[in-house]
Amino acid sequence: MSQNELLKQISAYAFAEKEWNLYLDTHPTDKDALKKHKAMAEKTRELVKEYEQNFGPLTSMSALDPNCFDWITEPWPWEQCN
Amino acid sequence: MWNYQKKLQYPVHIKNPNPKLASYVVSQYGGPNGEISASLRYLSQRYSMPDGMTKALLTDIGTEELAHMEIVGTIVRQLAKNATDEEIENSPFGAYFMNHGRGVYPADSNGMPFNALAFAVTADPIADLVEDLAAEQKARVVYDNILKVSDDPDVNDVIKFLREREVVHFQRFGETLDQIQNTKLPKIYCGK
Ligand SMILES: [Fe+2]
Repeated sequence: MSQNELLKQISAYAFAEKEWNLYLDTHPTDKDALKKHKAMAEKTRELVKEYEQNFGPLTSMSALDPNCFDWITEPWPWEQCN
Repeated sequence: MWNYQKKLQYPVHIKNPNPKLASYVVSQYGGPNGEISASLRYLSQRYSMPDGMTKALLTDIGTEELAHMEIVGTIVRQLAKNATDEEIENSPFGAYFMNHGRGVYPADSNGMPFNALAFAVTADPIADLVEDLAAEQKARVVYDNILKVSDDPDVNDVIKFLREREVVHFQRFGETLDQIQNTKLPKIYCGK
């Protein structure tokens, strides 16, 4: 997957996780919702891992390059990368 | 984007209620030199910074200030939560209590609600970073003032942590300012 495609996937799954999160805040014993929330969280984690191994850190905690702190590299999310 | 972690950056366990102290400490929540002001300042200024280093630093410090806002809010709440009505009435917290009860509201110690006029965004990296240096010192001064009037070790331990962070932030801002002024001067004026 390309960097942009992967980022789009992460945003989609993370957003789905967030929706289940809000729903579960007010329906904390809905078993079906719990299952779906878990699936979205797991898929998001998996995609984030794949993204970070290939394209750099999404959080400072996962800056992996031993030679340079690649957390600070541009572009930042508010910048268009073209 | 942001994700919330269900923990404080530094633990807060205050045993004794003290509404008077709460009315002072709340200034670092919503006052001009407080943590909300700091956070909004850096997170707003970062868009027009000239390079990855300054964008990262303002994002990271602005984010840490959000965690400090939570710590200060926690101190205010713990100081006010178990105070009696009488203790509150006989303290400077009484005026605040009329509208906010034992809750946490972004205002300064005079009761002035948070105002974005407390900070600037000029889109000039030098002007913004110099303001940031001053802001860190002013926040440090307020923490010094709290330490002058508080004799509660549970509170002072946390305030000393927050004070120390202002000193570190000041140091890091100074380094980015130096970096921009000494090696990247042309980039600043390229119309970004
Ligand atoms: Fe700070």
